[in-house]
Amino acid sequence: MGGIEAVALGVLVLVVGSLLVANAWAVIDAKSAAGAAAREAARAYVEATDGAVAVSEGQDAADAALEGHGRDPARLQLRWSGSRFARCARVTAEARYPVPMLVLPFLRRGPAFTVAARHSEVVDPYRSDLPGKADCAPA
Amino acid sequence: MRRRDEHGSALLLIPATVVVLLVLGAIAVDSAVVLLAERELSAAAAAAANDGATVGMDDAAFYATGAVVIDDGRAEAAARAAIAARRIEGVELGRTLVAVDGDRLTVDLEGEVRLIFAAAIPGVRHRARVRSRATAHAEER
Repeated sequence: MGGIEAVALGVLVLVVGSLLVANAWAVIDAKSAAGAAAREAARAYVEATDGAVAVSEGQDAADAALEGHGRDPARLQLRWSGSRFARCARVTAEARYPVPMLVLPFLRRGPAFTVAARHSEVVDPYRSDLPGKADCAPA
Repeated sequence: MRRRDEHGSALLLIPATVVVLLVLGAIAVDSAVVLLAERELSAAAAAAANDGATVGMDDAAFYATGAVVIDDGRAEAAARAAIAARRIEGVELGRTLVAVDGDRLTVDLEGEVRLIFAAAIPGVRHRARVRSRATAHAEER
């Protein structure tokens, strides 16, 4: 008879423990994907042909990076700061991605945990076809 | 030959086996946290070195002598600005070294990352030290 309690305890520990580990793993994996998206976005921005398409090229690069990680790009929130397309200008891309928490199977939806990653790049001061001087000295 | 009073004793091993499996899973997750932090630090160091070498190029020296030289002050400021703008999450940044040697710039980052499951175990180190170094080389293309 004592065996039944052991099985019940085993199943309980397994289910709760597995959810804990799976949730932690999902956050780590999403963080890695968000990091890649932010990196690719900032890189694509500073390498864009001109300022008009820089943001859209950054967004496309971030979407592609997320898809490569098996994530849904529609849930990606990409924010830009300092996005001025000029020589020496620093641009920072912040990728935020919500990760739904895994909960017990009979509970359909759990709360979401949002992971964020940032990457910052400088527009190359020596690249061609950009206005302004190649002088990055602090003002 | 099995005696009657040994029946079901193997079932007692189930919780123990499950705990062992979960501990292994927890170790895997904590290892992934450290790996992720190392990757973050590595990407931050590479980006900082790249920015430092690009922004820090000494134009006056180049136009005067044709040599590619990195200006220490400008390069270090750019590298530190890159690290600050990135705001590396999950890693408590400790030592940050930026060294310039002619046309090379090296960024050395050191930090600590908080482990998830180890933090719940008394007597075990709750943090892991991570370190990364990146070098950028400025050259005329």
